[in-house]
Amino acid sequence: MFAAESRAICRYICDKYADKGNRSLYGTDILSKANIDQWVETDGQTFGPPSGDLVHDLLFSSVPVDEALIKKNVDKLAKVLDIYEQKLGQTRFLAGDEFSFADLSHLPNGDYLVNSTDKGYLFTSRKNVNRWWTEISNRESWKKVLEMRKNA
Amino acid sequence: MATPVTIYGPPLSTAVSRVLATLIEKDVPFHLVPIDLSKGEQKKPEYLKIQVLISISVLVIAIFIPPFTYSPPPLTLNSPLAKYQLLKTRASPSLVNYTKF
Repeated sequence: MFAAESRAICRYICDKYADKGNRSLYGTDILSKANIDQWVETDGQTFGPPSGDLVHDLLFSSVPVDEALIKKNVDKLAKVLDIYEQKLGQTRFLAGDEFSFADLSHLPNGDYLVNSTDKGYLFTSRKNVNRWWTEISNRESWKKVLEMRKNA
Repeated sequence: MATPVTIYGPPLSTAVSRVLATLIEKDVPFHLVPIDLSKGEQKKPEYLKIQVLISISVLVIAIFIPPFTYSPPPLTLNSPLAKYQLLKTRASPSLVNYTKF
């Protein structure tokens, strides 16, 4: 029986269908996989919690917004994105110069923050993050997901 | 022709859309069964069973990847563990929980 959180499911899919589609999505050797994993962990543990909380509180919560909590999460996210800004000044994508699952994993929360809240400046005000975000959010795969949302 | 992956969950959820984007990048055929959380569809008995069984998060209800298929759950909804898991997933919908059981 298989059960896992969504990032683990995605990694399983990448390994199970290693020879299909985008073959380098989750690396082609153990070194590139480890490098990708490092940034997937960063998403899951550092980027994900404040951005997920912001998305939930600003878009999906049924209780009034707690401004102090919003500020706390914005500050946390800003610190993470400062590190991303530095990294993305060195490489085109998070795990190197190829698009990988590490980048993809940031799309769901990032998309809501950039396109559905007033916190998009956290991305667009950082030069390298903005370049990276523009490139990854324009992937055909992500556009298809957004289409599926419209049609759901 | 391989059996496509089946996903039960709302595409508006961040967890579901992460999985969908990965499947599309990998060119893997899949079947999406959207579940409308606003109508409480995730609480239908057939989905609750899956949710307890697969226990991914309240937002990705379940994903079946061949050769894994649905089989009778090892837990019942009345078991303390199942109740705890449902409570936990409902209490923190922005978090994803669990590894395996």
